[in-house]
Amino acid sequence: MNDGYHRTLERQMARAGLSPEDLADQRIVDLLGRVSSAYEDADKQRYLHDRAFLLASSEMQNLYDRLQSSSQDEAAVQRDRLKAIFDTAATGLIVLEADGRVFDLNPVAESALGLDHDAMVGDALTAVLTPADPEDPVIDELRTALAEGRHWRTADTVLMTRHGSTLSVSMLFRAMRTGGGVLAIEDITERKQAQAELIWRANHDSLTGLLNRPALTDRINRSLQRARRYGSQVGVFFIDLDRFKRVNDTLGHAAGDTLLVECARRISAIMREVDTTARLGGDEFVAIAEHLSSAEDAYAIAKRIADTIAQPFSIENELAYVESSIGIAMTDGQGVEPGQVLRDADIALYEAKGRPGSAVVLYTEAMIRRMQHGVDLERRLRRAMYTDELWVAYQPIFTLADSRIVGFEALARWDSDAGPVAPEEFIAVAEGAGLLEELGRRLIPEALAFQRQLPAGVDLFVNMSPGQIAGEGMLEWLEGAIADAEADPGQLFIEVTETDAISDHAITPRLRHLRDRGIRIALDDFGVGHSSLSALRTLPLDLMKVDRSFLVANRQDSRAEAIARMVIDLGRLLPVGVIAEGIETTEQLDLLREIGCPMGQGFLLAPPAPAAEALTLLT
Amino acid sequence: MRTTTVTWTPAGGWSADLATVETRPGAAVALAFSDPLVDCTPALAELAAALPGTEVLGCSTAGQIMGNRVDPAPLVVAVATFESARVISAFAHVDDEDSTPAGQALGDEITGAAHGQHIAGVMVFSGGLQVNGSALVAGLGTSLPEGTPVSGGLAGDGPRFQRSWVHLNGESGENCAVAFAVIGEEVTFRHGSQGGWDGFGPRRTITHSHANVLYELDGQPALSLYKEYLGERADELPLSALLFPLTVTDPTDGRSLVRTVLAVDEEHQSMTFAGDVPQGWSARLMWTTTDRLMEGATEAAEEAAQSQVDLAVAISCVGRRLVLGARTDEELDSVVDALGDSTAVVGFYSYGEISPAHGLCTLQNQTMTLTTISESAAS
Repeated sequence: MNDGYHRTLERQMARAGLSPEDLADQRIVDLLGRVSSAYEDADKQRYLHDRAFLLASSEMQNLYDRLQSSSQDEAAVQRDRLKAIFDTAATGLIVLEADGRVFDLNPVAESALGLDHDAMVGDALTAVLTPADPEDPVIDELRTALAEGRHWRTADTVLMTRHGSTLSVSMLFRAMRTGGGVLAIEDITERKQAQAELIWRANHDSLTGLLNRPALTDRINRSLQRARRYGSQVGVFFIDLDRFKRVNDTLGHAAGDTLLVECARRISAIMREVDTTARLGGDEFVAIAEHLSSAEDAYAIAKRIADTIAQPFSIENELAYVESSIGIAMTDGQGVEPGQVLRDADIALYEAKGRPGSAVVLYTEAMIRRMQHGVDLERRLRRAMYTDELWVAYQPIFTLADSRIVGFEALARWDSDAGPVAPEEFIAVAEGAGLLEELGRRLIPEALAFQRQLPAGVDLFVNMSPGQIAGEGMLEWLEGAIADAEADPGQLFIEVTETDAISDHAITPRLRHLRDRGIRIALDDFGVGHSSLSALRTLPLDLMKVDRSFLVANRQDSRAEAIARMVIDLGRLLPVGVIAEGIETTEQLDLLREIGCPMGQGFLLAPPAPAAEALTLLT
Repeated sequence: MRTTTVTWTPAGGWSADLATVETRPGAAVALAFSDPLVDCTPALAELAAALPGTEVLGCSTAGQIMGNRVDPAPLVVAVATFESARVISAFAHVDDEDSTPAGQALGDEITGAAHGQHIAGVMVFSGGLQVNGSALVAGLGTSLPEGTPVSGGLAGDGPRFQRSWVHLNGESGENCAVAFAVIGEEVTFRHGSQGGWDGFGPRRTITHSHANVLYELDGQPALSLYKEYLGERADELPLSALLFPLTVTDPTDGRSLVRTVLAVDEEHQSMTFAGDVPQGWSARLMWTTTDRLMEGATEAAEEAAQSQVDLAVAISCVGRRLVLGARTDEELDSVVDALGDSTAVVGFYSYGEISPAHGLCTLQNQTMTLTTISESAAS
């Protein structure tokens, strides 16, 4: 108060005509002092409040600015990130406005659809997406999803690009809450191709590209359905290559594969476009021909297949030859299953395989009966191995000049409980069932026992197939059997049938081995097989038995006679012995004598007989 | 319960003859609050001698309250004598590092002397500069029977923040705490505590602090912020910092406390507060107006009011006095108006207030804290 009152108070006192000096009353002085102090306090308070207000306001503004600028920075960073994602996405992305116009599209969408970014922005959806199929509802669906603000996807559709090519895509639309949305377009062309390839692989043979077995059943089924619908016939051709194994063995598996591929090509070329060709594995093919009107049609197709396969294959600068056996099943599709038709064709093929050369056989009901009969026979034969139903008959072999017995051919006989079974029949069954070797082991000791009773100069002829000779341990067994029987190897001929197998390189050393033991070798059925002359050149032979087909039926057949003479001369020149088989008429016998055939056998001379009976012929 | 108030001045001596003050040994307390610039030791000795068996205690102040005014007398005293209750006291030295053990020691002493009897209430006074009031109160809480109400305040040193002390029965010290407790079923303590301050400006995070020493807010020196806001009044630090107390808020439960500055350290750019300012809590500057402070005082008195109040102890923050300035008495008018003219009011402007008014007993700042004591007639 000594410093004077607050300025405001002093002014108020001046206006009121008062000066501090005028005031005598100490209480008034005290009062004025308090009022002045209150003014000063209020000033101080206001100073701080004003200052605090301005500072706090400024601080708040700074905070606000910082927040705003950081949120702007944040937004810019977010935008950059989204842009980078958008531009580098492996999927095509199109950002759509709520009204369906294009807001933006990324480089993948641009290049996949062949679009120009700048030209497209602002364009309508329909200008960007064109379904390959005008009926495809995808655009309408997408537009609906856009309008309703919901997500949408389509698994698989085909679009046209601006370049006019097609593009398999799956599309996903994600609606945005603020309207519009993002359409993701994934190019699935490669995936579709891969799927197609997988499906193709599942249904095709990888080597030849033909259909495989699983796919074939389906094709047959469809063919049967069409046959039923159109009242036509379907032919199923079961084709098996003959002598293919030899190509594999001699030229190698790669060459074998090449041949199969070429073979597939040739068969396919024969068939019509609507027809089907399949490979079942190995050297087995199946062809289906529809709309056949008769069995002749089927035979004609089969013949063409057989002919085309019989053409030489040029593989690695070598020519390879194979032939085929073809079984055909024909059906109108009524009441049959695909599996049954294929089985029928297989049965017919089995029949065809049993015939020489490129045989074509059409399935008949009788075949299955035969087949069933064969199965039954095999079962019984297996049982017979342990009974005395199997025995050996001996057919004498004569010198034709003086009708002297020089040998006996041992022949297997089977008197089953249902009556005698023809040798051709059960030998074939035994061969098919792999029982031939066992049959040999069962009967050869009996024949050797017979041989021991033969005088010198009378030989025993025992038949063995190339398969038997090649059988493991068979030769050792044979030598053992000869020793056991105390038989003379010098009185033993092994007759080997002239078939494909005899040409196997493995056979020759085995035959030499037998010959080294003093056993002689006769070539059976000469003239029937494929490689007669080359066999004569390479095989260690002592004798050939000429097949009955070379025997001349009558004297008017001069050509046959010429061949017969030539064969006799051949034997003389080689030189090997010659026996004519199957002499049944005196006419045949006279001619053989005339052309100088040294030996012969046949029903005319003497039928096969049991051992005891045969021995009586020698006395 | 009888209450007598007297004042003392060096020139005039006692305002009333001490011989007329009737007390009962072991059942009386004399609360004596003094101006730190005036040596009141002889007067206190005289008082103790005149009132044998009476617990004489109190502290230095930033203004002595008597009735409805800040009394110019350097020593104000209220003597309360209970009819049936007894009074016990305790004294403890406060460790420099941790004030908790001192609180525990006070509590232990009181609990022991109570012999299991009902403790109607405890009032505690401690040095206002080196003592961490929060820790002291926490220590008391651990050793007193649960639910015992504790109120009181931190001694003051006028506007200087240099020396403050407490005294009990002739013994005094700066780093000390004293307390008295009233034992008896008939005595009732009630409490009221209000501030009248409001937060303003941004809410900041306490990024660096240690106990009651604050270093940084939002990674910036807290002292710089205060200087910025105080402007030309920064020269008056630490006193002027009282004009912007801090409200600190626990982020885990949203509980807020008001903290006021006791000291500043230019070297470390730190500020020492009267209570903890935990790191990780949020802090916000507060301001007030004269009117808001008056409202606060009225509300505090209303909270503490009883049908009959034999003694009201008013402890108000020095920061309030700084704002109120010449109008400080008006805050006391508000209190007396609310409690009734006949109520004996004694107290002081403090460097911190302790009150259980709002449930938890805590150290507060910038409040008007009232403790009213009454004793019903012995049955």
